[in-house]
Order: sequence, then C-alpha cells, then structure tokens
Amino acid sequence: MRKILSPIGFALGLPIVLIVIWYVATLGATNPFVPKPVELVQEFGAVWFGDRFVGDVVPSLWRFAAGTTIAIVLGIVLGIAVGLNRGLRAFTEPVFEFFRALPPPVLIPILALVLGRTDGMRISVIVLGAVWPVLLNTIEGVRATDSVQTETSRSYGIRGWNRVRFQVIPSAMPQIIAGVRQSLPVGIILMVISEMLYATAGLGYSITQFQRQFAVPEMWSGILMLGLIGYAVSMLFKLVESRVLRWYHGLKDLENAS
Amino acid sequence: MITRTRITTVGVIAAAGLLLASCSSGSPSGGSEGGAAEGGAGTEELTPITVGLLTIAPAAAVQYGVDQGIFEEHGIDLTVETAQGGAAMLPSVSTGAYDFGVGNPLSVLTAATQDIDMRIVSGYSFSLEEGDDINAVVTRTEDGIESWSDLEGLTVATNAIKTQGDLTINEAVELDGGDPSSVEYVEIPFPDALPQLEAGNADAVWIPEPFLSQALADPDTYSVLGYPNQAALPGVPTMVTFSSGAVVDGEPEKLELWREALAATLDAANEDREGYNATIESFTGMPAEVVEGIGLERLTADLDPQVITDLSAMAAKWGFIESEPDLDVVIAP
Repeated sequence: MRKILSPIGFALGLPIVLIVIWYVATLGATNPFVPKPVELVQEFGAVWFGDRFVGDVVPSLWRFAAGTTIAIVLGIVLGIAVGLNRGLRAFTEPVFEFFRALPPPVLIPILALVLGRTDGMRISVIVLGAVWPVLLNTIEGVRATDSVQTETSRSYGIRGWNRVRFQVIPSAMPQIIAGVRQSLPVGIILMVISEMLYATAGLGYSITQFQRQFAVPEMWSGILMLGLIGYAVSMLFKLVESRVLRWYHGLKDLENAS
Repeated sequence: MITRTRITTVGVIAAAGLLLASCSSGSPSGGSEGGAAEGGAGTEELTPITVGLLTIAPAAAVQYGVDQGIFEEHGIDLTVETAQGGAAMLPSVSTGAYDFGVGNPLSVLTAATQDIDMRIVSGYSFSLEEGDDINAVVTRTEDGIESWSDLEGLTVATNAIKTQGDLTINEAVELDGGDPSSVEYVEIPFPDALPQLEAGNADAVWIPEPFLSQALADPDTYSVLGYPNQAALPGVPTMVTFSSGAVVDGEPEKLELWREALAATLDAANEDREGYNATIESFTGMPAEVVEGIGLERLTADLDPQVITDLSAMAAKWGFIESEPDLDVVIAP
C-alpha cells in the first residue's frame, strides 16, 4: 500500500501546496482579473465539456497531433540523411541555422497568403517550429555513433538500410528522443499562436475571445486546459520513451549499479 | 606582461566610455531640470495623471496636448503609457495603474457587464456622420459586391470579433434586408487586411485609416462597399476616455482636471492640423505623406449619452453583451 501511495503523494504534493497557497492568497481578492481556484474549476467544466469540446478542443488537438507528427518524422528522416553525409551537412547547416532562428509566428501572415486560412497553414506553423529540436538532435545523435560499432558493422558487411535500421537509429535514439521531448511543448505553443490569427475556432481563438470579452474565469479555464493538455502529452511521451528506450535505461541502470 | 597591459588598456577605455556616457546623459537631464525649475511654483501643484493610449493616429492628440504644454497649463503632470490593444489597457485602468484610458466604448460596456467597474468619462473621437467616414468595408472591385445584403454567405474580416466592426456590419446588413447570421467573420489584423483580401482569404475587410486611404488609392482593385458606422450608428464614438469607479467616485477633482485639459487639447488639435499631423508622425511612426492624406475622426471631449445608450442596446441585441450595463453608472455624469 505504502509503495503505491508514496509516489502519488510525491506527484500531487507540490500542486496541492500551490493550490492551497493560491486559494488563501485570493480569498479576499476583489480584483476581477485575479482568477480564483474554486471559480476556475466550476467554469472549467461548464466551458469546455459541451459544444466547445468538439468545436474548439478537438480541432486544436488534431492540428497539434498532425503538426508534431509531421515535424518528428521529417526531423528524424532529414536528420539521419544529413547526419550520415558529411558533404550534405556542410551544405545544409548554415541554412538550418538561418531558418531555425525565424520565429514561426511572424510567418503566419505570409503562410496565410500562400495557403489560405486553412488547417494546412496552422499545421505548417507547428511543423516549422517543432521540427528543429528533432532535426538538430538527430543530426548530432547520428554523428555521435560509436566508431567501433560502425567499424564492426562494416566488417560484418552490414550496410545500407540495414545499417541505418539496426545500428544508426538505435544508437542515435536517446538524442532523438531528447529532441522529441523539446519539440512537444513548442508544438503546443505554436498550436495556440496559430489559432490567434485568421481563426474562427480552436483553443487559441477561444482564449483570445474570452480575454477580449473580459470573461476572466473562462479565459483562465482555457489556460488551465492548455496546461492539462501539456501534462497529458508529457505523460504520453514518458510512456513511449520508456518503451523505445527500455534497453538504454537498462544499460544506464547497470552502469550506475556497477 | 602583455596580458596585464591589455587589461589596463581595456580598463582605461572602459572608464573613458563611462565618463563620456555620464557626461552625455548628464547634460540634457540637467537642462530639463533647469526648465522645470523655471516653472517654479507651478511644479508643486501639478496633479500626476497616467493615461493609456494606443499608438494609432487619433490617440496622438493627447501627445499633442503634452507637447504643447496644455496639460501642464491645466495643472496636470501627464504620463503617457502606450498599450498594445484595448483589452490590454482596461485591466491597467481597472487596477489603478492608469488613471484614464483612451479606447473604444464597446470594450468599456463589455467590461462593465462583467462586473468590472469601468466608467466612460468623456468623448474623444467620433465617426463622421456624413461624407467619407474614417472606416469602411472594402471589397474586391472585380466581385461587384454592391450592397450590404450582398455580404450574405460571405467572409468578412475585422481586426477583432465581437467588437465595433462586426456589430455595425451586422446592423447594416439587417437594415438592408439581409441575414447577418450567414456572414462569417474572421479576425485579420488591419495591416494584413488588404493583402489577405486580394489573396481571397476574405471577401470583404473592415479597415480604418491609414489602410482605407491605401485602398481608395487603387480603385481598380478595391472598392468601398460602404461605411457601416454611418449605416448603423451615425457619428458613433470610435474612442472615448474611460476610468475606474475609484477615480470617478473618489477623486472628482482629478476627473474634472482631466476633462478640462482634454477638451482644450482636442480643440487645439482640431485648430492646428499641421502641428497635430507632426505629432501623429512622431507618435505612430507613419510617414509624413501618409499622414497628410488620411481622413481624421472628429475630435471632441463632448459626449452625447444617447449614442452610448444606442450602442449598448445594439450590442445587447446582437448578443455581444449578455445584458445591458447600468448606463447611469457607466456613463459618468
């Protein structure tokens, strides 16, 4: 029993402490712009579990999922290609550094001119921001492949796709996963920003509308929603990570134990 | 040895730089201190007031008043803060960080219905009742959209949804016998509106100056469908000045000072179009040739409460506010 309860206690401890501080600090607050926890929770249910769930939350989540998936796949594929080829790396690196420094939100008006006010435009914004951590980490991961492993592969005649599949990807995987971890919150942020302009639905759109209408508790409930989505995404990520990198964590545990 | 010399050199240069910097910043501030001292007795009596402005052309009139010393003459030491948008300014006024704000009246009414103690304290800038108004709905000439009811089923861009743009357009479409509920509104920032209209991301855009002048200059591409303010609420205020209940009820002297100084400022700006234009240039960063060409709102601190009453009724009718606020309180006497 204790074994189950103590991790739960640790996980919930800090949030509970923070909420209690928040509750006490806002007990006497009369400023209508200050959110209060009880009010916020009541609004949260009323605002998001109804028409808005299908109308705003689902489309946002879909764009986020599509955008980050494309970013991750694109980042890994390009990253492996560039990481394996020294010439390609020298050729592309300056360009990557240039595009990486461009903030995707400033590209929204331009993308809207080219792609229109479509999901494609919003997904492109997400991809343009979320691809970099995956891409650059993959390149580094592939470059850092152990030379003894590479020599061994070569002497056993493992080459081409087989070498990528059984040597390069597994050895780069810890860094690829680190890149994915960084790209997820970027994806969520850009999902919100891409819906703040040229939009008629979505989480970002709703939050700006609430803000303009001075519907303060509703606005904060939207921000709470974003936080919960972020939390859920990171939990999902941890699950995937523990599967994909099981061998790696096992290896580390062994190294630490010895 | 070499390193040591180098460090010393760097130190000397840095010290010289500091010295220069302190000199250069010292002289102008010293000068202004001298200027304030000349004011002598007046300096002590000035009431400090902070006002929030948007960096748009009509708001420059307040800056004009500061530059011309009108606020000082009226016993006000005015601090101008610029805000990014009306919705961002309101909380600052509500909490007392700003004493007054200059913004659109509909936001103030909306805030008031959400139990935020906001009061409209004076007029500021008004839409023109006849002739060429200062904002308009613009369409592509090739589409041949001719009347408000033609907007049925089309996409119209405004800078923000549920504000004055879509409110007056709804009313204009209905008055023309159309069905406003079939109009889809989309948010596009003013500077992007015309390019997005040309790209087909909207069928009509609601734009103020200076973008309106830009559209009028190219009649082959853009045509003006109409002026929604004139169709729905002729002479509606585009901006008013507002304050919190704390100032209106608790500091009536401050309110009185502000109203007098603002009235004098706006009158002066109306009289001196050239000087006002120069302030618009420096305040908004718009080039001189643009400023000269744009149409300007009617500026006056006088406010007919009836127009706010009408605006409030219209906002409630279209569901922009859930209920009408208590206008006897919101419009400060």
